[in-house]
Amino acid sequence: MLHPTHVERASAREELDALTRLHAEGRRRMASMWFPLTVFGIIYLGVAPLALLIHRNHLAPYFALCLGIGSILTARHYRLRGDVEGVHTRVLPWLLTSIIMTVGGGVASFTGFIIGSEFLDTAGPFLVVASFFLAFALIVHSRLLLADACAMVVLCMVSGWIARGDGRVALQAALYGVLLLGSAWVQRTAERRTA
Amino acid sequence: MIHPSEQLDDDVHQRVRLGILALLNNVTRADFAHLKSTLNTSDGNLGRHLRVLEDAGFVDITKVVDGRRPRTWVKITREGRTALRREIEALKEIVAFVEGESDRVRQTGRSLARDSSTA
Repeated sequence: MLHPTHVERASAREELDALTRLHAEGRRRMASMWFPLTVFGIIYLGVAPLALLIHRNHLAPYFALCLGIGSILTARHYRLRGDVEGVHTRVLPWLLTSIIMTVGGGVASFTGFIIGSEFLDTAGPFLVVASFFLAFALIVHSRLLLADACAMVVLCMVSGWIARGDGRVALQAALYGVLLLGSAWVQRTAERRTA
Repeated sequence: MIHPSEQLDDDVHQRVRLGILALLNNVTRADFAHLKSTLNTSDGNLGRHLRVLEDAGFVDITKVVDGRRPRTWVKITREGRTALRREIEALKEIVAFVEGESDRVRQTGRSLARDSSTA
């Protein structure tokens, strides 16, 4: 016969396990980011030709405009999806991450320009984005976003060996764009399979 | 010494109610149908538990008409999040308390066995 304390421990353990499962379900929903990944992918693909046409330090208005439009589209996407699925996910963490990430990238680029560091000016904003992806991946326990963050660092290093200045920015942006669109496709396919 | 089970809140400490709060904790809001299917419960049962949580101030319930069908949206309140956090802490303390007690019983048993062998 089981001692009452064993029953109590088993019950408390079971409840904690059930809570962990439900918590993981919420995290999985937060990690479902194929739409914002697609938006970011398109934004970065747009950066590639712009960086060659206009100077890399004149891209701030483009990013501000794209961030505004992208945020509205993403919030709308999550709202419509929430209406269909019966559960609205929290958009604020994603939105704040996007804004701070973009502003952080701008600050890195501006600092690089002021102190005359080409590395910080060209690779800084991209590495800031990689570090935010890493942080978000750890928060929502997403292996895909973690892989993206690692790939971003590698792509930054590889771009540095191939090109310099505006060319490096254009190459990094194009590679980021392809990476993000690829990740969005992988996540969307996986979600469709499990649905 | 107060047993950690005394920290459990009766309004929260129930499978379905705990499940509702845990589900709502990571999302902005969820509808009745989603809660019902995820927690594998009936309409009446879920409605009863939601009323208990609403009366305790742990959830906000909004009824809207979506097209032609009525829809019930449920949202966790700040008090609800606090209650859930306390419940989880209490459950963890229970596990730790019982494990600590088991260790003490085992150690006492071992020392008794040692004493009897040396005697």
